[in-house]
Amino acid sequence: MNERTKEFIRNKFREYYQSTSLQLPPRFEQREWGFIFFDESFPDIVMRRHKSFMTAWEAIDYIRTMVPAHAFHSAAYYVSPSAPTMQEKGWQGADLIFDIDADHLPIKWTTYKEMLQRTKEELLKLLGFLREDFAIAEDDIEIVFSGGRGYHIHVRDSRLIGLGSPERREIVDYVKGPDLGQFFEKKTGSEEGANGRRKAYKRFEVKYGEGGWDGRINKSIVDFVDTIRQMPKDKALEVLMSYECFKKRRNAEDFFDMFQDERRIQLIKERGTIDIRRGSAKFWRSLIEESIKRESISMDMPSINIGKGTPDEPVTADVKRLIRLPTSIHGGYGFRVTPLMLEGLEGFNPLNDAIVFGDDLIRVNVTKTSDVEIKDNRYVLKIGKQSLPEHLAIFLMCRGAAEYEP
Amino acid sequence: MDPDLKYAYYPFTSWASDYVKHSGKSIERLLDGIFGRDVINRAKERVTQAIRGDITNAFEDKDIPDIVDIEKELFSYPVARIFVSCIGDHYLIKRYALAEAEAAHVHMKAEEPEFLEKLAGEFNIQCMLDRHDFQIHFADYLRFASRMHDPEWKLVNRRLENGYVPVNKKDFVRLLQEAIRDRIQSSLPLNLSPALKSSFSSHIADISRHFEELKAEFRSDDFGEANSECFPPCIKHMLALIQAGQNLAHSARFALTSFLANIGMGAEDIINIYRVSPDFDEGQTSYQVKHILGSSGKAYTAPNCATMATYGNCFGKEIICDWISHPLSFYRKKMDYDGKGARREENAGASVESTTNE
Ligand code: SF4
Repeated sequence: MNERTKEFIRNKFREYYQSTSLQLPPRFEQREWGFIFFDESFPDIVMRRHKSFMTAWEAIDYIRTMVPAHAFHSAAYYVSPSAPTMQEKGWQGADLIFDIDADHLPIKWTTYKEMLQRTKEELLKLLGFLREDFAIAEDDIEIVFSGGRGYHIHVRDSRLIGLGSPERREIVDYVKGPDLGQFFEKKTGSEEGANGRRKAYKRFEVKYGEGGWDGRINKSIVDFVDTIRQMPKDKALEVLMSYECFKKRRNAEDFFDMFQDERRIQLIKERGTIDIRRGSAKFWRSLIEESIKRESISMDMPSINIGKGTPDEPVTADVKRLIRLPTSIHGGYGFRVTPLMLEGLEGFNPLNDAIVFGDDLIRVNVTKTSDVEIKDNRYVLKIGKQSLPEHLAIFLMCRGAAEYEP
Repeated sequence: MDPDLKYAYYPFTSWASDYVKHSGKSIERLLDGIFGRDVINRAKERVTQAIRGDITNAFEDKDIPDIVDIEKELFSYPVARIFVSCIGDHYLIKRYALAEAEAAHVHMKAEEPEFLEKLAGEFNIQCMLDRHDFQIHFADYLRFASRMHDPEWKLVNRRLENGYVPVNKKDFVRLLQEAIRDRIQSSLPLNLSPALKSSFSSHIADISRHFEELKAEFRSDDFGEANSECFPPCIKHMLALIQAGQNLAHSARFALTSFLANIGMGAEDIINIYRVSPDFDEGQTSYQVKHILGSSGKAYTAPNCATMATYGNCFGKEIICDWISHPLSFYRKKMDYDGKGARREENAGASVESTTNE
């Protein structure tokens, strides 16, 4: 990015910051702030951190005059947020932050739009966990479009603020899903056989339960059974045969017939008795595996970095310890870090709703061929000088795909 | 108000300490008289027993303890805390807090659920009694369960619904034990006036002696045939941490155990080294050590320097470190340089040769 481009973007960011009402996080005075500026090294990252603000006016004035390319604040609360070492800072707690970033998810996509759609699916799943399993109140959850490749969730339940890293790791492990093995219990015992004599049995059962993961797994088994029962036989067999464990049509047929037996179904639904015939555990295993995969969230650990550090540890330029300020602009995309409401989430389209810049034509020199979908338009751009709408021009410049060329 | 037996069993609760506060018996006054002498003796016993392992039930051989018995037991707790604070050793504090919490655990197991619910309130644990089981808010559950090693404690292996985790009485009591341990440990050492300290000096000397004995017993310079002077700095550092009463991270435990196993130390000797850890658990440690040593006699190979560094376990590099890439090679080289090659051949040599994977 050349100096002229930097100057142009900085001016545009300034216009935004001076006209918008910036939103500061709760207890902002106890947080550490970090900024990256449009200086010589930009777009290389040199973060200035250990900033703190005593008043809202001071914070807003700083951002309006300095016009950072990126603005962050700590998830953590400190006694002295501007102190240079963790020990001196005095950790007091931290919001629980989830960073649902496409880079941390093992998802595949082909376009930016699709990537954002996939991250939103993960976001919705995670919100489901937070609202249902963890029963976190809506007021304690702030959802934010990160301005880049995903979403952030800030959880500010007072009971969670003091949790340390091991506790937070447990929460992440929970949403990442359980091990398959724990759902299978080997039960041994005896029961009355058809001839009236007791006989010993040994079988697998799925842990039956209503809440949490047990409930999720149980529901998916019951749903599956119900769906198969309602299908015409041919169609049902087709579905069953798609599972690797049914090598022969006969095996799948056996299974299908079994699903017609009311008593069996009752056992499955009420007790999780699925080991109905030899080899059937294999089938259930893949079914459960599938539903864990579908319902769980894959995420990396950065989402739980809480900035506690170990005593004496010099503070490193670890960006992950800080989170983007909602309502600021992401200097790598030119998009607004957008706070979202739970209700409007489904319809939120970042490529429309996170755009703050206008439609005036701007002269730029496109330096990389690009295929961009933005504000309901698709642009296939060739290298060279051209006039483009401001919001697109700024996006390309922030991505390093164009330079300002008045 | 008469003291309840519960005051003696749970002397760390706010009700127990309120009782002590309002009893009008000051610590200074306790120093004279028969009652005071008994209290002090029991307090000393509390600490020395904690050093050795378990604090015994004072009422074991009494059918119905009377008020004096109960008061003695109750008052011995604040005095024991003074003793521990006078010595002030970090490791002693941990050990003492653990023993007190374990003693309370024994009593809690016999309590009615309603009482346990009330006790949980002492520690601001949000919970609900659900017939014989409990529902505990996940944040409180995690405060204590996240430090347990057994996978059954992992949140993902529990049923979490509407923010609450159901736990049975046995688990609930175990969580309370951790809450008690935290409370006692974090409230020590007390800030004591020099005058008070000196008035207890002879008792303190007795306790210190016990404590030093214990430390000497477990001082892990017993490496059998191995030569601890030739250990690499990272391994020495881990041993020093254990000596100082700190718990090692899992990766460090693994590195240390496998290193010691690779140079030929046996399971028992290795377990003894961990014995001095504040939350030493014989069963668990022996399980872990034996796992690393391997049932077939083929131990895991100790991690190399790069892996050590990744986990933050490479500590205090020395010059030799620049020439090697494995802590075991450090040991072997150092043995050679120190002219103890012959000894190496006899003892640890074979296992070093066969286990390094450079
Ligand atoms: S370089 Fe290797 S031997 Fe030396 S301290 Fe680090 S890990 Fe230990």
